[in-house]
Amino acid sequence: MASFRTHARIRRSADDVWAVVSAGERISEWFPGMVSSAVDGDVRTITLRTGMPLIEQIVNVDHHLRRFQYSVTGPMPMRYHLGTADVIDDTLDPAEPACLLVYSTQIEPDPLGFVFDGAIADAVANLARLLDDHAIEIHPAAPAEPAAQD
Amino acid sequence: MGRKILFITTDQMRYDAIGANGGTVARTPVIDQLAAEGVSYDRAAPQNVVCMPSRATMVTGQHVGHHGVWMNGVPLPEDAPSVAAVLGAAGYRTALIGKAHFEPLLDPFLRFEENRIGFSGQPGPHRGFDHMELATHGAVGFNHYANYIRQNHPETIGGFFQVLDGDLEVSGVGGGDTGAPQVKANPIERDWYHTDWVADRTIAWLDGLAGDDDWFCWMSFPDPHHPWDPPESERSRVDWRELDLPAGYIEDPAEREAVLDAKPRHWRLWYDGELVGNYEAPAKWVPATLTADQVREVNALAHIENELIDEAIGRVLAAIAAKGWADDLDVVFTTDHGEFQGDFGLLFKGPYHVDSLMRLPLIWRPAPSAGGDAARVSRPVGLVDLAPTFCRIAGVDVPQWMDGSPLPVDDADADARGFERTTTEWSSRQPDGTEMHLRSITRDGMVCTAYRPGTVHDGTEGELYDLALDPLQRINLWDDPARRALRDDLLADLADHLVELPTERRAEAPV
Repeated sequence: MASFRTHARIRRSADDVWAVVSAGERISEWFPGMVSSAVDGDVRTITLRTGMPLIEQIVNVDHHLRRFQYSVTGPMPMRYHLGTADVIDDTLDPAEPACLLVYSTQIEPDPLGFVFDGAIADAVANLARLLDDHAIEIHPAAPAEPAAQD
Repeated sequence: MGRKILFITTDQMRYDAIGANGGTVARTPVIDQLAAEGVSYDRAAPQNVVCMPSRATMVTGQHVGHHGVWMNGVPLPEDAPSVAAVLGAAGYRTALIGKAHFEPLLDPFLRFEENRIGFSGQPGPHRGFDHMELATHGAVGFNHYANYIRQNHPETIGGFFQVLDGDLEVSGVGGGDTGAPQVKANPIERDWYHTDWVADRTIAWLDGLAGDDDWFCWMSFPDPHHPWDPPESERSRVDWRELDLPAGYIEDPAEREAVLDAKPRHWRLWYDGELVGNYEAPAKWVPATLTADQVREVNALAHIENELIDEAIGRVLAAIAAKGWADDLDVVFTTDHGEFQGDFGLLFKGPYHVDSLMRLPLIWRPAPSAGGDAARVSRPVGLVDLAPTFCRIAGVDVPQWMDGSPLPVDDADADARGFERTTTEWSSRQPDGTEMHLRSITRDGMVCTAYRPGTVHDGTEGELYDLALDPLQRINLWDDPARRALRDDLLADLADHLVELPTERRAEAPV
């Protein structure tokens, strides 16, 4: 199984970045090669520029951890896929909020790893640019549940 | 009005594929005539032995360390320098017709312009080429040839060998008469096969030019690269049953394995099916299973594909002559890298710096109007020298960013201008973590390869061959004490002339 990870530091608050990342239906606004995306329940359907669909199962949207996880289920010949996008607060100065977007992928068969890794690197860089430039709208994400108390 | 330039490439062709270089099977009279009238290079080497890095060198005139395409799957940046742009700025009309592969082929997200051009059916422009019509090894992917087949002869698609298996690995499925990998009887009509399509589209582009246009056309045939699936109607040209085995094939398994064992360990590991160091070789195929008859059949099919290429070139040259351009036409013929085709009991290519993959056919037939004598050049030259040669032909200054020099016209010219060595490099990093790094120098009739540390080699291994005494590279002199001083001198020279890659860019597809 191939395993890849890419990240970007974005000069926006973690809440702002999470608002975009967690809105699964908005992925076509920032991921290369996608012309549309829609979510129905926990199934995300993407149409690629080639006209080919990409069907995904959304497996986890954790507003507390700010973690979005999904799995491509078809029609690409995927034996296993798990994509994870984590948004991690990285603010050093309250006047200059910042966060890390960490996007990791586990995938099999291996040859698809290169393909997804390259596209995701483009996507992360593109989203960072759009957010840094305030060129993508922010709609507040669902409120985070309070952290569990021990 | 200046000189016209027809740059012809094949893909994965051996030096000995053509009659002019001693080939005795494929009939290549057109290419042989170009050799007879022009300059043939007997030690032409690629700067890398797989497609994308080698083709990036051809279009930029740069070593891998400068253009940065260090393995297949790493795209050449869209703003990389291009000899086509240089010639275009000098007033040349420019085209690339056939296989480009400066950018990855496996691209479901359509991130790369070559694939976007192919998907849309538009003919460019891209990379300084006014016109691009693209093809690859079959009717697959986003390219103009696949569009042509889908739109006009969709029933033929299944006749081609399916290059990738269900896991998107390069398929090792066997076929033909012998079960050889990547062999298939292809019922497609010859006229519809990509070799003739490339020639047809080249002629069509030329027909659209004005008589006084200067032009540079890269006509790039996808064959004889695997799969070996030429039109079935042509198979009677060469009967594999009547072929002699190639000189590089060692029939006795014990002798073959002893030769492999004297080379760095990845040779034998691949042969035994324990390691596939690169995507270009079928992941599930074990070379040790290759039979003599399979070698014969693969060779026969490669020879057939080369005959079709020769005939296609003949048609294009006739069309050029009919336009009245023959006297001002320079023709450069070469390939991007070689093919084992049975040598050492292996097929395909990979991290192996021997003549099978590194000794290339290269012919420059200067325009008759420019004069010049026919010659054979024995000094080492590289594909890095092609782009500067095109500039020289066009009367354009060679840009500073090109690493090579215009090709010499004979050995005296080569000696006068310092053609002493070529360097070739390989790096690969597979998803499973397998890494290999080879750096080679060809000089003074020797080829010396140093292995940098990776996951297979510890940095002490190497290969050293005497090309005159051991033309099949069966005797590895790396550890020969009598050659130690020579080896050290070659390695020092390699270190002095290798262009190091500052950083490895991300591989964005397996191929």
